Amino acid sequence: MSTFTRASLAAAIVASTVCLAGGPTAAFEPKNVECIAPANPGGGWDFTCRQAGKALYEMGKTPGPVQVSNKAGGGGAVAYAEVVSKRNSENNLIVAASTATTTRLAQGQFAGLTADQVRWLGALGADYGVIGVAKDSPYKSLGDLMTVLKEDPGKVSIAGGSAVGGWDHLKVLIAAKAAGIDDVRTIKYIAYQGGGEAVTQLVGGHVQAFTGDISEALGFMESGDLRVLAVLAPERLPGNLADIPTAKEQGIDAVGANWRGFYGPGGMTDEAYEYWSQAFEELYASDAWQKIMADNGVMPFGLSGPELQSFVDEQIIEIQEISREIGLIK
Amino acid sequence: MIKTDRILGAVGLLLGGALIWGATLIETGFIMDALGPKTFPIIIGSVLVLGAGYVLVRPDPEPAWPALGGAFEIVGAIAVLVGYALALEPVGFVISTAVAAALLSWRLGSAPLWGAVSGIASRSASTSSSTWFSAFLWPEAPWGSDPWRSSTRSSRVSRLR
Amino acid sequence: MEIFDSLIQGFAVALTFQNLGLALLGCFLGTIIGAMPGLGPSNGVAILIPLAFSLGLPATPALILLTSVYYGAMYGGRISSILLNIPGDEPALMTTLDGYPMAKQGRAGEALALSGLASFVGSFVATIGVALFAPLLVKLALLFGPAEYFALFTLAFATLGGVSSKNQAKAAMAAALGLGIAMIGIDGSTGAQRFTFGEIHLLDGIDFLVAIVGLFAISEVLLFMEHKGVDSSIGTKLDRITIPLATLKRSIGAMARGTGIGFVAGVLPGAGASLGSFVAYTVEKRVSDRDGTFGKGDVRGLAAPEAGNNASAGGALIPMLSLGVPGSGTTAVLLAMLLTLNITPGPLLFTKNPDVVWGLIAALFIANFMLLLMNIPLVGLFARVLQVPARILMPAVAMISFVGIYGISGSTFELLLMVGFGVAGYVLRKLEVPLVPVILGILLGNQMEDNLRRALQISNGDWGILWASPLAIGLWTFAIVGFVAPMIVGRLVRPRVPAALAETADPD
Repeated sequence: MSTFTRASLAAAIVASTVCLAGGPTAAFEPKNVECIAPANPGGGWDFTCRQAGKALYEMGKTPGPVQVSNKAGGGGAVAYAEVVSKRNSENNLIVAASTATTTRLAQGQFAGLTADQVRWLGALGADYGVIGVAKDSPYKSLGDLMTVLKEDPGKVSIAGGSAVGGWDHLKVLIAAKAAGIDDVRTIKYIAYQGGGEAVTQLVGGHVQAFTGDISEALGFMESGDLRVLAVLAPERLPGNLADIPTAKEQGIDAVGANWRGFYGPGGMTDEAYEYWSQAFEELYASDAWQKIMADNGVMPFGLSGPELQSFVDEQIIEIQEISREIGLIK
Repeated sequence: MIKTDRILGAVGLLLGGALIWGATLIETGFIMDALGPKTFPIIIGSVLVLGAGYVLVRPDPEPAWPALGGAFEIVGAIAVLVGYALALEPVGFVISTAVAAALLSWRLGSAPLWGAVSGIASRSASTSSSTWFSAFLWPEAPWGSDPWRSSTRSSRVSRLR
Repeated sequence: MEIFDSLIQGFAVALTFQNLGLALLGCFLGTIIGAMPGLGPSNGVAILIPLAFSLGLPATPALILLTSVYYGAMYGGRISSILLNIPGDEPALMTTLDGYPMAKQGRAGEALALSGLASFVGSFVATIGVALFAPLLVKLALLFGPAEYFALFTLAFATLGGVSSKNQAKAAMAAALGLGIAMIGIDGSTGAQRFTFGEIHLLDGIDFLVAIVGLFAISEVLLFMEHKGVDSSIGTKLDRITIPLATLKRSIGAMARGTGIGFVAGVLPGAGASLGSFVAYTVEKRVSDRDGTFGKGDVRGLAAPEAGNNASAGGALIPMLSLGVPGSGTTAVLLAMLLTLNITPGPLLFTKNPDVVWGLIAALFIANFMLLLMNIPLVGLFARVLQVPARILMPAVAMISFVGIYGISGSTFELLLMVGFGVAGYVLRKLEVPLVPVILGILLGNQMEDNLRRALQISNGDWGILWASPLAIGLWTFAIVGFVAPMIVGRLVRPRVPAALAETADPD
């Protein structure tokens, strides 16, 4: 009986997707879809895979639940290398990615692999960067902090959840450059294993400032232990986050968006590529996804297919420029 | 005859030296923290050199090493395990496991035929657990072959309807 | 007391028919997963998250299932440690030191029953601790900055000498070896590649599970090939499967100390669960080992780490829940679970989602009792593993190791690495180089280095920061005393050692 139920349901789903997508591009039928989270369970990539996988299945975009597999290693390098070298022609494979992925690609840290060896499918939201201090800190605005960084950089240690040269570090440097600090290499950045650990060290008084994403700061901001000096977004965030001033309105023109999304194998057929771009576009627009975003402090940022492709290309050039300036790459 | 502890000490000295030497070769970018990526490996290398030096100078009594036959057994077992590791992906779990288990079992005292049987038995014993684990651990495994997965899926489907 | 009100509400949530069923399922699966080499609590929880989703469970039942698996795996880890000298995962490492000698003496049943009880005491008290002291202990965790963590890790290694080896130089070598292996991979702070030889599988370093399974399980198989089962636990006759009253009396102090130490260690994010059982053992050895019986089947050497290991599992929930910082791999997975259920752990979790927190605590109590009830009667069954002939058991151990490691890594490279560790483990065991420091080095190496570097980065290169706080000074004092004392004491006690060695018989 179960076989019959499954077969008929699968048929129904296929039929419905054909109706939705329409036209000849719908010839691709997803089957046994796998989502690789290039990190251990618990991180942002894992979250992206699990949530999007669940939502895709519930929308009927995949015939069965999306199987999430964790392939940790080298900050995404192991998964990237596997997709490029071993699974290049698969159509039912999606891989979670974010600005961390493009940062490492830009800095050539994926063993020489490049961004054009995969197909960028869709982005489903963004986490904006924040810079914060402990509640009893003497620094009241981003300007205060930047002044000290300029005059006596040895005085302030800034904790973040990425490695040196990683995205959390780059965000501070982008802001510092925008604030007119020429030699950003003097800024003391302390790398922790994750945003949560970095905030804890700030609250414990071991460092003086924190750089991370808004989602990591949320809990400590609400409890009052963390004072967010600025959010690195083009404009104020919606909802109850509207109280946080942007860096821009404090005269420091810096934006740091950590987008979250997916890439697929470079040898994916055009039909499959169309299908997934379309699926992520619809997923992003759905009420269910908008609710997930709202619940988790994820901000609007929806791009799919070619749009994401060109965004990724631009972001990589931008990151390469700043990395070169600070001497991370030659 | 040279005591094996002296060999251990010598190997430790070499490893410690290699660690220190390797650490000095680590390529660093322009951005550096106060300590850098080289210092800690050098400290560890020094500890290794000190410990190994002591062992080299004052070795413990010699352990009981296997006689030639025993050594042969061990080398054989290592060969089986390496072969098993290499074969697991291309040949597949079932065949490689059955062969490796049979060989090990034979060397541990089963008759050749018994070895094959217990190889299969231990394989089927671990299959009952591995079906279980493959459901979650080996997502690559095709779904159809897995009774557990299908049953959860169909229960899910029936709830959806 | 409002805590008790909250707890009663928690029980009201947890004590439904469905939730009890889930707890039972979780405990059972967890015990089995924990007993498998290479599969520990974190993999156990990770692989069961999909199950929780496909069952469509809401937040509280899902948490009950997964925490039961978590605690179950902490219980289960001891089984293969005691019976076969193969720790299922890193928290069960210290259990091998006295548990396996007990099994060799035919006291496997007693060891399993006692360690089950110690596990229960450890996690039961720790769960009470979570309920009562979470806010207080969070403050303790906040006191630990980079300098304090570095001092703590140094303390762990300093007290190591002589715990698992007669030769301090070999222990130091082993620790340096482990720390050196930990250096392999991309340097977390600068992104520089260290000792990777251009191999992509080495970029992320060597997984300590590969090392544990190789060093213990595979080397055990090789040892068997050599001596064909002579002088091993396999085939020993089983005596009782209950705990004699004298044993219980003897180990009560060890359990209490192990619980306290394990719990506090668990609260420290990062140091976490593995340090708990480890420090519990070393302290217990310092406190109680007057006749040199530790490492030869002393019940206190079994009870302390087992209580410590389970207490730290409870303690690790505190930073996870109230700071959002996982103290161990497993709590990282539980954290992921909570996030997926749209619950964000953090300073406000206790006030914002009291139902989840207290439901969780109630679930822990339930899982604990269930595990005790399930584990004690099963002792006889577990111990019967030793009656399986080696020619079947040892190939099975190899198979399960391969399944476990391939399951978490999915690569042939890791399997070969595991075999390599097996060969190294065989040689090191022959030469009486202790394996525990190697594992500890691999486990803590990166954190130890990271914290040293963070501290010096914060202080602009001034090493004085390492002993700048009272807490750090205290930790250093302990470390120095722990390192120096055994040398002095060892000199005084040395004439007695041959006598102690002579009476290898049952210390009871």
